[in-house]
Amino acid sequence: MASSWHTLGGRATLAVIGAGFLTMGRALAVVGLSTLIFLPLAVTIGLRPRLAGVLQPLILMAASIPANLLFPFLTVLFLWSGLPLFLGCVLLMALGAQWYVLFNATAGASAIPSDLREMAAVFRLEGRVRWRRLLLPALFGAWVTGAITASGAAWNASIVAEVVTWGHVRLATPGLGSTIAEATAQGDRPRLMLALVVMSLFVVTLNRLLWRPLYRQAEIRYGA
Amino acid sequence: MAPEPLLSLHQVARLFRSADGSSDVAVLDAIDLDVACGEVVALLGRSGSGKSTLLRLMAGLIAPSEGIIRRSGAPLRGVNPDVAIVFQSFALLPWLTVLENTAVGLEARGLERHERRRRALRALAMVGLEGSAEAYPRELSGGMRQRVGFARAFVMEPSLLLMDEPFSALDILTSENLRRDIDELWAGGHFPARSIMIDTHSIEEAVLLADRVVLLSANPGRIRGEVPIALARPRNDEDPAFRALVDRLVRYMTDPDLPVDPTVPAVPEPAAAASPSLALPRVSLGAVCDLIATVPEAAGIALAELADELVLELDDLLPIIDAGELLQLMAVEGSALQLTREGLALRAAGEEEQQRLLRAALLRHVPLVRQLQEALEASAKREVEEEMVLELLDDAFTGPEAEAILATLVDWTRSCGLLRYQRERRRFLAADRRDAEAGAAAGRTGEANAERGSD
Repeated sequence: MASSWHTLGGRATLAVIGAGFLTMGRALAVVGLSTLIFLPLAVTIGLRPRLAGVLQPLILMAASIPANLLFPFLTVLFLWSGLPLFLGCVLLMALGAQWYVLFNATAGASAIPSDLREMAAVFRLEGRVRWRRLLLPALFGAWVTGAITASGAAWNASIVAEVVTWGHVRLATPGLGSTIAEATAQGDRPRLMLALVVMSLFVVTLNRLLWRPLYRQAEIRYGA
Repeated sequence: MAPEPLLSLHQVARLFRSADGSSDVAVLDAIDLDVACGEVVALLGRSGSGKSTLLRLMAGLIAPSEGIIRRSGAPLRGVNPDVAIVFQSFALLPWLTVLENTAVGLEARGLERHERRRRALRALAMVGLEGSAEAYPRELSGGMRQRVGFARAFVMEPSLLLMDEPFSALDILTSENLRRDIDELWAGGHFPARSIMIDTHSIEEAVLLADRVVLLSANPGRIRGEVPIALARPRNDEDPAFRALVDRLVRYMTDPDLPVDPTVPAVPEPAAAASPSLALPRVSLGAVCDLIATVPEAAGIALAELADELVLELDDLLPIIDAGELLQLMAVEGSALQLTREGLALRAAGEEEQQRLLRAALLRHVPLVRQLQEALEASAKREVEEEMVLELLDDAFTGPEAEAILATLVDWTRSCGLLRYQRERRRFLAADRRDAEAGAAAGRTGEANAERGSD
């Protein structure tokens, strides 16, 4: 890092670190959005074995489509709708990462013991109370596992999602992913090194300060 | 016109898809049952009688496959709003405190926090847990957890409290205490529910708590009849009238064919010479021998006492007795168990002699074994495919039932060295005489090892 500092100068180094914060924001947004969209779906599927039997193969099929095959279509969509890649690349990153949240939460929901489900039905736990008292605590552990994996996948995906091309059109948005992609393309070794180190530091710090404490919380408070 | 019963079941049946998905198996059949306001009804049956399923039907957790359930006259749709359940497994939320667990139903009703707390604390006081309100379930003993289960149900003040074997996951002393507390609450007239339906396989529990006991048969569960319990509360389990009722119910439970009629004194019928069933109870011969060793030589022993001594639920004990009776090693006289002459001989014998006596008993009293032995002797290679046994069972039993009987047959004939069985070729082989003698000499432990090796 020190040698990169020498070669690149302070300002460029700070720019790479700033890009790290942008990409971290996007990775967390991927986890947040996947959770909002997929947690209710996971509960719907996980608690109904028959529905799961129908939907699970379809979902697995959808998940097995390589995300970057879909990138051109979304790029066209962005160009057509005017959605800036600054936000749009969150969608691109989510294409691959979202499934981890869905799969883990579904497995978590189907693992809720049947006596607890029956209890919730008999004591009429519905709506908000059901989520607060039964579902969220019961799913927390599985969700943390899914979120950690999804966040890791999102960091990886940023490298291909923050710079996209469609024919001659090339879209890019500031971020650690685009920094790495561009430094690689230009053979800018010092910048590439710096960007990789920064990404590692971000991922490790996020693990230490966010995911690991959540994991511990899941074990202590919500473990049966 | 008489008021509508709280809950009424008319010709209710419930089918479940069999494990291989090929057929529907009836768990409950032709159930007619009313629960009136203010009564305690006990459902008594062996495992496989569908007690638990019946309770879930009443709660509206599952729907009947046939028949109709009415709640105060109107057909029941979805979850029954009149009921609360006390679960066998407690079903507490591990992440909530005792107080929060108790109040969870009130929270769902939308009561405000202060009122929830007040009512939940009152319910916890009824079960003697007011001091543990802030504890988490994992910090409590099993008995205390179930007290939380009761408090959670009490706080709802349900018209009908359903109790699904509420004491069977607890040790004997704890469950007796808790049972007695429930009895006293009910007798005191401050019980927070108007009616109780309890499903159990404990006869004492039924007699202690119920106004009437409904007896269920097994596979499929049908109502055999009911016995009114007109004893004053709180009840004393040493009262002769109490004991007499327990004895009567023990007789019904041990003899599935005895008609349940409260007006007729329950006298065991002379052993019916009816067609011998090919069914085999799913217990090991070792368990039968262990039981024989516990029965006092001369006098016999009361079944309830025996269950206590072996720390077994009567429900687990009965199949062992069935096996013993099948082999004519023991007999139930009234509500006491006595050894037959063959049983006494077995009790006195050493290991090797025991094996020989067991072989003789199997050949003499188990038609399947005899037929198998005859087929073996007739076969040139001294081998018989297991298919032969399955065919014999085909008419009277479903596939899984026949498989279970076959498994027991293999276990029995092999453990006493009567026959050998090759699992990979699915064949019975005649025991090489020297083998059998060696097996017998090695004793039961050696046999058990050999068996494990060949599985």
